[in-house]
Amino acid sequence: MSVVLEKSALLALDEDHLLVDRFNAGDEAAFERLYTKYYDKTYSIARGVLLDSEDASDTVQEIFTLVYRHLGRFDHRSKFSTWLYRIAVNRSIQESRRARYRYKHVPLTEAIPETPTEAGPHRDPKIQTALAKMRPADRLLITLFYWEELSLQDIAQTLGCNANAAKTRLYRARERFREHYESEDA
Amino acid sequence: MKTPREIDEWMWLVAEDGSSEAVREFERRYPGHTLELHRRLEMMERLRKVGRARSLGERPRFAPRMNRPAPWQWMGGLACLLLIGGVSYFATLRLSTKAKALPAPASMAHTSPWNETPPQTGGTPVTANMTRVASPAEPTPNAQNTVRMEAVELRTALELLAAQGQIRLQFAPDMPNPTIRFSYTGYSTMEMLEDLGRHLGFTPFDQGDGTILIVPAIDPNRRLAQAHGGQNGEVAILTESETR
Repeated sequence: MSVVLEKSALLALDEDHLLVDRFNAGDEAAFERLYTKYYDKTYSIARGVLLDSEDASDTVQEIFTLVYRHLGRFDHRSKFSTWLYRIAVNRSIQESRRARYRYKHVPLTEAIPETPTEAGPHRDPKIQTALAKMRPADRLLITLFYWEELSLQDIAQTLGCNANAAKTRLYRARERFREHYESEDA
Repeated sequence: MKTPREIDEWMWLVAEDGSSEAVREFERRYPGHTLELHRRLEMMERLRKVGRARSLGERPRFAPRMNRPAPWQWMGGLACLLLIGGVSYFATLRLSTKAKALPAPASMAHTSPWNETPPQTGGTPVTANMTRVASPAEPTPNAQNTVRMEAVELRTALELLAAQGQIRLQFAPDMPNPTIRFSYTGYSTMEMLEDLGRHLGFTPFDQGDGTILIVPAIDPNRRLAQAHGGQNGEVAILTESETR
């Protein structure tokens, strides 16, 4: 069983590297394939950090534009997905800082409310508010672990740290989330 | 009261797992933490529910965005341009200042009894009290000049010639200072000094550092470095004077 799993992971890894090589050789369709394959996960990362779906969608386009431009620099030493997620994390956090600055400088009447107002069946103001109060990096850990259900190992690779560090950071983020969540009751 | 670390960690595991069996086991062992466990269970359930229910939206078609230069990029370019402009401005300014700092032959007219005359294209220069006709662009000891001075003290004449030729003069003691008149056409400064020395009893020694030592004596064995290439020279003593 595990041999089969390893083999399929290896195939996926090889497929990504093959697509990267094909794109670098001038095959645009190879990039489309990578984009289709990793769009959802990249969007989840951006959304986890930014909370706002429009901002997330916009940021994902920027992330893939960056990847498109710099794919020639990808050195195949890590998985393509790890490289992509790292770009996604950094870009999303950067964008969240920019957004915070932007919102600080709009008139009070136009400022977005503290609680995200996305409509839909998944709307839970208490959860959304607690997430909105967190630092983007902490929020990212929560969303990657509880929403995307990434393993600690995968999170560690995405963040560029080891699994133990990722675990410690996740537990701290979880504790901060609980504090914000419970403060809503008070 | 703070929850002991072991219980806290177990409580998180149970809350994240959410299985009823694990909950029952925890409640049995730690009845005092049941309320906290249920708060965490509810929180995790709501968090996951939001995560599960979120929509990813429609995947837009990918089109690489145009590279819009960031403000710091064009500001950097502007700074470079300003720097280049500033450097060229100051370089030009410095060069023109240097050019102005060179001894201008025209200024000598204000500080000396020289009278400027326009460069002669031929024939005899216009005679004034003291006339110099020289090429201002090459005021060097080897430049060919046309000079005419009337009723001027030797020492003053030599100093004027030195200023024109951009050389320094040092006078040995007992240098005579008669009032003289002379005229040279197509002579260099050094040739004029040599010739004046022959007529007036002194010898100019080139020290090699741009200084000419004027000694009031003539060495009979001294050979002129070279015959001057001047066209015409004339020297006359008008009045003998005391030595200085």
